[in-house]
Amino acid sequence: MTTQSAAYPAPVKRAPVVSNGVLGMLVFIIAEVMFFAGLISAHSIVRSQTAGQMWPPFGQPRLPVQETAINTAALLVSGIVLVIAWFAFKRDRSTARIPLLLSILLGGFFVWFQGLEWTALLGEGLTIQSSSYGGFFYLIVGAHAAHAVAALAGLVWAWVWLGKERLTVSQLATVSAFWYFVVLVWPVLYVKVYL
Amino acid sequence: MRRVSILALALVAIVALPDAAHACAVCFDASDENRQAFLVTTAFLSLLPLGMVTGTGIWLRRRVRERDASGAEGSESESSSS
Repeated sequence: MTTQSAAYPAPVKRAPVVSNGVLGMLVFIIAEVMFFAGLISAHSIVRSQTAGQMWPPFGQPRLPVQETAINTAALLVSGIVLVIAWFAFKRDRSTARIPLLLSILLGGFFVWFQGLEWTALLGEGLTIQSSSYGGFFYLIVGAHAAHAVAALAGLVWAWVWLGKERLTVSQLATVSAFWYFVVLVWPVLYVKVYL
Repeated sequence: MRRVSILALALVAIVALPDAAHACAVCFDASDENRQAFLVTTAFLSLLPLGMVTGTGIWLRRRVRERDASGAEGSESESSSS
């Protein structure tokens, strides 16, 4: 037994390079990127078939480009504030509460503003069945809004856990990764759908 | 006789079926914009997963190297101190 242990040294338990939560979230994000890539591709194909014709189709309301640009800025700022919260968390956990809350509020503003936009567009006659233009708008923007709500729920959970001093670095990294995905995929959707 | 009828049936199928089976069920627009959109989205959807998986792999490899390097430095300092 002793000769065996001398020949084969005991295995060294090394720290994982990425936590299970972050790795799982990365795999999920890769799948979600492909989901949105499929939607964007389908939108590009349908739009290319109307080349030379009017886009948006005749009789359909125009999307609020300027207002949504402001909303896009709010979402991007939310992502930047979350980066600040991350560094604050690593420095001194108690100082991360305010930037994390600010990031949640900005994200909440984005979702609320999207809801207002949808209400106005529905009132103007743009529905999911009115045209492929309306169908793609509600499908792509709605899918993003669903992701934004889920990511916000994760951030709110992290904020509550932080208040209870139970939030770990791995947990914050996991929910932050999801929010960064929501933030970074939106400008691409905005350019493709709104412009 | 049976062989002849099977051959005749196969011949009819070979002649008739290609008309019903189009090469691409969705390529119904011959415009330049449409063809270009198909090409671009095909390239996009083909390269995107490869890029993401490669990027994740490179990132993980770098993290492993950093960890191993810091571990080696730690063990060196431990051995030098002892």
